[in-house]
Amino acid sequence: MIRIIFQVTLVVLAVYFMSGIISGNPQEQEGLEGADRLEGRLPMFYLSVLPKWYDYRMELIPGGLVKKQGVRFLRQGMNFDDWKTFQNTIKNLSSKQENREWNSWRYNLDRQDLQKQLSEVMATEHYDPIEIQKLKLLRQLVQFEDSRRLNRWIPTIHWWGSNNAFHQEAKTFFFNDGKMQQIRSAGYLSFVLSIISFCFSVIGGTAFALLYMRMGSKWQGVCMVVLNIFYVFPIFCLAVLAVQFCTSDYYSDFLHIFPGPGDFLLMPSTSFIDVLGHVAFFILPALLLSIPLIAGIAMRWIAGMEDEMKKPYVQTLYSKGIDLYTLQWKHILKNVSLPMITYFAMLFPALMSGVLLIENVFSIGGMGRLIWQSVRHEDFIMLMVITALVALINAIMGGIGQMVKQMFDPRTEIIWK
Amino acid sequence: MEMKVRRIIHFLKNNYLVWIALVAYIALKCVVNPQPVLTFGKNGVQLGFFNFKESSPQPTTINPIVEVNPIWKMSAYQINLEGGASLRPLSMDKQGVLHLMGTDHLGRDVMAGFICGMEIAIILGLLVSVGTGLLCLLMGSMSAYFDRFPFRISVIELILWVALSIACIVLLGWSLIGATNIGLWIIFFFICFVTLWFTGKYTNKKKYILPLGGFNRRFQEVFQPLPDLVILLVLMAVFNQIGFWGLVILLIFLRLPSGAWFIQGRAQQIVVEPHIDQAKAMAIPGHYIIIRHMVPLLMPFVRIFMSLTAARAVLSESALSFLGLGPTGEWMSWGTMIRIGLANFAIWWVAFFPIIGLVAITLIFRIGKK
Repeated sequence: MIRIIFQVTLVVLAVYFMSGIISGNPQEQEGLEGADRLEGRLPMFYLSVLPKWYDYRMELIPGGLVKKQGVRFLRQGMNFDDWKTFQNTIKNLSSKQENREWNSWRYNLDRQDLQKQLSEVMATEHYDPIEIQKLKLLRQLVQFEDSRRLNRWIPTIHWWGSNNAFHQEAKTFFFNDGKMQQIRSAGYLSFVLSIISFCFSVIGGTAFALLYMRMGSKWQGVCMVVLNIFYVFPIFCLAVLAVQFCTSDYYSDFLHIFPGPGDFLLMPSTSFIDVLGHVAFFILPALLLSIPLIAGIAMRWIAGMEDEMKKPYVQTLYSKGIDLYTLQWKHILKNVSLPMITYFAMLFPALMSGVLLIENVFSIGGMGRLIWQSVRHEDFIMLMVITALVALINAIMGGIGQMVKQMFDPRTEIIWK
Repeated sequence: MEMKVRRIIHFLKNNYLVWIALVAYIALKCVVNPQPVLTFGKNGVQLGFFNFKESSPQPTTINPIVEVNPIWKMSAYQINLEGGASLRPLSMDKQGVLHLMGTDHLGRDVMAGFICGMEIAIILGLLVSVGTGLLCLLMGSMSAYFDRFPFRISVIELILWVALSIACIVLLGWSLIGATNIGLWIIFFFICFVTLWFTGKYTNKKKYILPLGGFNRRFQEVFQPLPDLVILLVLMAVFNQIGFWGLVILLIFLRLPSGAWFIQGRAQQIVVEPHIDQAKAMAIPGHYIIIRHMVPLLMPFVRIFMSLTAARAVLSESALSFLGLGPTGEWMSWGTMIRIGLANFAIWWVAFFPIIGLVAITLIFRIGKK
């Protein structure tokens, strides 16, 4: 239990801190306006260790020539607000067509050169009084004193926005009915899909393995090739083929066997009862999801049973006259099933990856599609919640698998760390 | 010399499927390519491979003496809406160009896109498998050999290590944000190194044990409850301007925990063998034992892991580009083509050929060895 809590906490913290990394598009967010948008993305406990002269707001400016100038001027002794005023004033002035070339002052790293250029521009007379005032302001701003004191380099620790947009949204997330309803309905859909797929996988894989053991060696070779192909066949490729051939009458009326993508929208609601009542919609997605898993489970069963068949007790039973059916059901299957129980519990992470792809192909509004939408819209809080849920479910299923294994084999002792 | 030739032939025989795939790739490049496949010029040689980002046919940049041109000089991104859209395989467009695998709804040649996707898959698979293999070998073998690693350190040295490491990291951060010069950081790093060296030489040390063996297990446990694709999507959301190399690094990082744990398990069986014990008793340095004795025995397991990793990397990349995410979502990769094919039933061949290619290359990576 402690391990489960530790894993889930670690996952949530990892997403929490990673979402604080500034990864915006520099082309979109050039300049200081982007800083306001970026600040909203930073989580509460993000800390930075900066020199005293480096204003923490400079961290919000995307990297580029503008930021380079800001860092250079701040290091020399300029104030961040003054520099912000400087940048905004130049932007304002250079918005006029005839003043467009003044935009280069925003990137100029040399203060002496800037002062010289400003003096030259002001010496010409064809600017209006407002422009002259602004140019005077610019010249005044770059005439600050160069400061080289050592105490300006003392590191300061800065804690980010405890009241910023990110934190406000996180505080109200679990009280937001819309978001919770979204997660609940997505959870129901994914849960039903996963359970059906899990059942198909376990039953299908086991049945295939038992059938394999009864085949001749030629057919066993063919089966092994087929299993290998389906084990590596990408789920979304299977889904694409199935959607093309089995969910429409484009090629033939007889091929329209299953409901197609988008038919899920015909469900009256996504409450648990309604979802259970429309299980027929989930048959094809669950089948597609389970095909690679059936192949994997069957291959493991086959490998385990073949290993078991080589053991001495099997030879003894054969010499006593036992038939293959009794041997398989009463002895081999029981011995091989113990490691398979752990493998079944470990299926859930693989199932979740497949659910993500299948839900996108079939437009099922489950957890997988919710993750994809959160990634698209950079909704980090939703991502954190869903990731934590997925990690929790998988960790719990792993724990349940161990407990079931202990039920079947009391020799196995679970050490709760 | 004869031994070396035999080894090469043995290597080729054992990996024939991989070589068949590479030869098929070169052959396909000779059929469709945006630039000449091989150019010998006065200024050097120019190869026309791994150009999956070229949006139009490219001229050569050197003065050619001999040029090996493809049969059709086409790019995967060339749009041709006038009489070239949605053509079936083995059809000709209005310009008289034969399209072996047909075209999509924008008139882009499917074969050129197929080759583009193949290049991305091969490069990604090879880079990720080699990177993961090397790192897992290093982590696994060292964790197994130095399972309970004894080291001697004094309290002053430990405090200095922690304080100076933090100072170095902070100063590195400052130099990255432009607050200081990188030269200053290098000088500071050198001063720290000298300080720690002197402290290590002239202080009284005490013995401690570092449990390196458990590190890989804990590392793997952290990532165990999360599926690979979910982690990849979360990382894509954070690092959304990641680029191709960033994707390679992420895929390597995702496979590291399970790989290091797998190699460590095998290495732990090798470490207890008698010849390793004898080497330790003869005071042979640890790194020599690892490189000369353990690594050759671990190589078969590393090769298996590398081939499985390559297959998974290709599948992960194609899943990402199918969802329209990641750097390859904008290029003509196989996942992108399958997504285009899914959107339009009438041009089924756009999805069909990439699916065949994806399954074939995944199978080759998985069972490429005899």
